[in-house]
Amino acid sequence: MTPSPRAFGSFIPVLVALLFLGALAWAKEHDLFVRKWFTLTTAQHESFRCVAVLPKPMRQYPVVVYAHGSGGDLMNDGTALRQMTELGLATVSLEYNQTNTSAFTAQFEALLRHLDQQEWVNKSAVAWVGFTLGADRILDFALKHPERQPQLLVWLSGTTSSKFPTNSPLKSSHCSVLLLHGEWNKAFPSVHTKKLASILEANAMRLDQKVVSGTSYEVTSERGVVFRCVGEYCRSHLAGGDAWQNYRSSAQWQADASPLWLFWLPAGVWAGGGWFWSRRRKIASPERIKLNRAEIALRWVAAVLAVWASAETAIHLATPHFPVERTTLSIARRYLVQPGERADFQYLGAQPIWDGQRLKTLLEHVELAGYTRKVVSWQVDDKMYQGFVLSPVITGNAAEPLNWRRPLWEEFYPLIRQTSSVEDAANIVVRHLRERITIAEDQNLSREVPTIQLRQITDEAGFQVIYVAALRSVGAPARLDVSGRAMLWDGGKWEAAPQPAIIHL
Amino acid sequence: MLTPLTISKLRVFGGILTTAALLFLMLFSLFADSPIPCTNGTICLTLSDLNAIVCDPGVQWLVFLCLVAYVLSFLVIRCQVERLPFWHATNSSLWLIALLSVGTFAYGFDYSEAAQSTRALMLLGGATLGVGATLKAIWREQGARTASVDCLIIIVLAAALVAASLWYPEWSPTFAFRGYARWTGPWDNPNAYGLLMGVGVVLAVGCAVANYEKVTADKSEIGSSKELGMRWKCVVAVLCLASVVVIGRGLVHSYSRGAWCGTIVGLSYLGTQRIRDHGSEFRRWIRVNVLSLAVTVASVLALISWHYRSTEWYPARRAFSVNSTVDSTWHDRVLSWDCALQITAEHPFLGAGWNQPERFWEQYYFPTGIPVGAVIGLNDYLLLGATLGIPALLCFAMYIWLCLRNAPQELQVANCLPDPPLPILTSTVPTLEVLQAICRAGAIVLLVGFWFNGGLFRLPTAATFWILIELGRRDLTVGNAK
Repeated sequence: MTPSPRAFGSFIPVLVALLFLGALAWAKEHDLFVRKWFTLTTAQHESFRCVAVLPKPMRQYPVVVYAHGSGGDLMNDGTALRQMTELGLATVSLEYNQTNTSAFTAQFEALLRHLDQQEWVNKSAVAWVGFTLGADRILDFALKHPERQPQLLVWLSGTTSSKFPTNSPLKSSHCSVLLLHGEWNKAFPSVHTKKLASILEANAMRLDQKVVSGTSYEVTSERGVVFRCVGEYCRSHLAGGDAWQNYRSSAQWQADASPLWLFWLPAGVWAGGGWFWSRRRKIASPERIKLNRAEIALRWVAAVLAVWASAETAIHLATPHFPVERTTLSIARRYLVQPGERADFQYLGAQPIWDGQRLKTLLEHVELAGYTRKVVSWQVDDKMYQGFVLSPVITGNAAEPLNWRRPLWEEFYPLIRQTSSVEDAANIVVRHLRERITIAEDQNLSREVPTIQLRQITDEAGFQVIYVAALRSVGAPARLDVSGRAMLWDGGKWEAAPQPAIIHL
Repeated sequence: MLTPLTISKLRVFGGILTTAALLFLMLFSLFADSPIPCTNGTICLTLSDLNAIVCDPGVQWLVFLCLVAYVLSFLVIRCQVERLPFWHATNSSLWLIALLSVGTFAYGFDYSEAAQSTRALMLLGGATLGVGATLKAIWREQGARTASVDCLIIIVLAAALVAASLWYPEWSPTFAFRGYARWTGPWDNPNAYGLLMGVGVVLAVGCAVANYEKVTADKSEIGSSKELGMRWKCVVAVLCLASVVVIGRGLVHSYSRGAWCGTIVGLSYLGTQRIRDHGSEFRRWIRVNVLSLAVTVASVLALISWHYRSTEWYPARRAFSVNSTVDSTWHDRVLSWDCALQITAEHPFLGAGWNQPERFWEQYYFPTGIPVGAVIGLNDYLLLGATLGIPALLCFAMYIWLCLRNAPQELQVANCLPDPPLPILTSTVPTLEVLQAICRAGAIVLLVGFWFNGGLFRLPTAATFWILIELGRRDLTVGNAK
């Protein structure tokens, strides 16, 4: 006797609900941020929306208050806020009145009052970051309200310094200021920024001035890099000397998150219980069912096919986890490597670098490098390909980890698949890499590619190492030169690979 | 004073008129958002005017209110006809009303954002059309559900899909992937085209099987009048099979994996439903050998996927790309599902609101720096949860579950009722239960497709889905007949 349809009817909805709720809990648990949307009201009873993006776990963090540029809104602030929040800062943005300065003042005051009451705000570590119009507004606010000044003010591509009087002294100021503007800023040339800098310096403000090379007024192409660097600058200033000692990257956070199957255990228990219950209720048939010849043959066919399929599946799934040896290489050559990739497999497998490495690493290099070579727009000859694209060796150190290809390929290949030249690809790669990796000056930082990927922080030499790996992962021939800088093969000669717009501020 | 004869004639006339209106609306929904520039001035003008009305936030609320009035009226009338206890958890209409209420509340609560797209309108419009379609079918004889109107709807839908499958690929927008043109038919999206072709395949197969079953059933009652009917049924079955070939070609050339998967699931469902109705010997054979068959099919699929994962034949490569380590589309989809779940987790009760998840996810949820496409719109269930919250998703899930669940005892009475006088169809009209199974199978194709490709908020797929799921509802009872 099988369970009645009515009993079975509630089994599947409950199972689906448990799976969904498990997935929901998992998604929430491994989400990097907490986003808080709130509405505030000014003293003039004007309401405006704000958003706070906080790192996990919830505790006190240094805070960055961000004012977007002209035409911006909260919906378009998310990427900038997350860039900075990934660095362990709580970020807050507001939907301010862009046409009325006094309305902005009231809104900003209301926001600061609100932040004063929040438990997650470290009140001794606050920075204001303004972009274009927002930069002018927060600078104006800071100068008019010195008692509310933050520890750090970042003025990014503002425009109104010419309005500041050069002869009359400003109210006293105590915060540090970073002036940042694009090199090709035609709307507001750097001479004006210098003028603003001199005014602020004359008023005893601690000042830092930087230029983002190769960018326009709105630093459009390098915006991700700029906000990453602004976040790094804020963290360095607000968290003190050991700012990077306790840094926990987003990649590390996600790697430490609980796996999905753990959240699906209740559903598994429910399914197992249902199966057990149905077996218990099944009453054994009083007489054995007689099978005819066709049915017996069908069972044999099913059994043979099942064994065959299981064996093939085991070869494909289990073998890559074994170390590289003569036997595993032979199995891989026969069953796992596609005919078009056998030459590469033969070449790479013969290299004396696989001692203690898993076969999976070798197979990934062969498969992904071969696939990328086929689909990218540029051509690379066999020798260059084998030596500087397929090869996992970058520094040549004996203990160099080789298992870097897949994560880098998954991250970078989607970005470059539409590009037509190796130079364009390199520009995209270096930009995206700098958006993800902090370049610090600490001597103890790892220079191994998998560790850099996980910790998202390294020194300049380590950045060049992962840069070469990233270029190779997208099919661009690359190597380190004698000074440790990344070099790129442009089809005719080796030349220095493009460097990030900002190394560090 | 109207005589009974006049009243009867008026009723017939009214019936024909409403059926024609329903079919027109169905076909209009199917092809209204076709991107192909029309040449007929009047039609073109009307379509562009309609499009302007539904897209204009100044008047969209009026259309929305009209649809609310329609769907509520339809549901009230249906409850009257069905004579079901409305406040009962097993009443699917109750869950549908709850879903639409949440959607309407969210629409009104943040109208300026909701009116930025036609999503809310599509959900409500599709549901209205679906409820209206069944109303026509069940109202004809005051509660006696008839099969011929259902059959007519299915035949017209299948014929429209056959016509769409014959669309020249050159007439459609180009949609290529790695050098292979993906057919889009009269629509702008190969996934929508693939899903509708999948529905067409299932409907055509269902009709062919139903007619074949009638032929075999009639063989036992040989007579001169029966022979003519049998020949006609054979012709219809052959036509249906020919349609399967034509639509199947479109399905393959859509290269839509979600549509392929949906079609397989839909056909499997249809198969199990038909097996259930077959003789005890066949059912016994299936029951005894189901495990062997399942193991055989799974093993063959596993072997093929390992051996042909790098094949150059594009349809096979596309089909087995799930097993490919260099296919990033699967990875992107999982990322987008993750984002949608995160949005739902942060707005569990009322959701983020209409059109908000699409705005939120790129800026606040999707990993920074990774190029985003429109992948979040590809899973309608998670999008619905993120937009309207978990309660709305629960309502939708309950509605679907109640529509698809088994309740054969409730339908036996309906099948005993005489067919209405639609002479053209009577010889080939399958029983209501068979038609319902075909409709459910078609709806299942779309339900699977909504997980991978989306379509619940697009007019052609949404209208088709709501009509099929409503026509195929197994919980639809006939109070009067009982």
